Amino acid sequence: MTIRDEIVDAIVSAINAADPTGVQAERDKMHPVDNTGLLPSIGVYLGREDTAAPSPSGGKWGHLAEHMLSVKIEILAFGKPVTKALDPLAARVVKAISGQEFGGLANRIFIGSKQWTYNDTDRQVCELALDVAVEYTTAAKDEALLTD
Amino acid sequence: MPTFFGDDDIPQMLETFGVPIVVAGAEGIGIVDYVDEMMLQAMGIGGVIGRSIMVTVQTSAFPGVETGNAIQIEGIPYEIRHRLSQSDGAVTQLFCQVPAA
Repeated sequence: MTIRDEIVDAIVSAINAADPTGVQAERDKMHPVDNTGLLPSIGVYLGREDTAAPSPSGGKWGHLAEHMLSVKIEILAFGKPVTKALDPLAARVVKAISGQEFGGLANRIFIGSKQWTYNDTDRQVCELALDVAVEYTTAAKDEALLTD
Repeated sequence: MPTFFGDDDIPQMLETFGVPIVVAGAEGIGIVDYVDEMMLQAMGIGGVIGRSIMVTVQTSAFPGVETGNAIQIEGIPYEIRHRLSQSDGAVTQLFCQVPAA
């Protein structure tokens, strides 16, 4: 299990622990939510990861790799306005993960951008995509280890 | 034999597939299509399946139809999200949504 995998699991757990009676987040929710099914929903997805090039001369920290992991959290809900439909869930998500280090797995985490999208067919549906950046460090040669 | 149809022909065409509807208190018939469509797919995954409800009616049978009007389709209440006149305007498509709670 990579540190990356543990971090994303930890994000999902933190969101779900924030309100056990509410909407449960789900990793890699590939299937669409059927309109006849339940909304709202929260999906957690990996976006991309950038890793800083290690120092060619090695040096004190040359054996470590610093990663910037982009995680996208998608919140879907019925209704309008979007702030009424989505903000309660968004606030819960932000509160759950802000400032977290997930037991030392992450160096820091912060909410990057928020993007709202709207659509309607027989009902009005809206989406908030939160871009979350997670900075973490692993051994340069083994992403399952925090240090070598 | 004419190769076109007139306004008088439309009711017969609607009768074949039409169902009872009531728009802003006016009764008539319309052809209803329910079509599912994908929407709100972040990064091409997830998203929502929405149902598009479209009613095709004779325009002259429901004059003055406006967005936001109440509509009943076989007794089920909806409201008109928007309307689009088609071609020469003899028929109109009414797109419907579930009324806000």
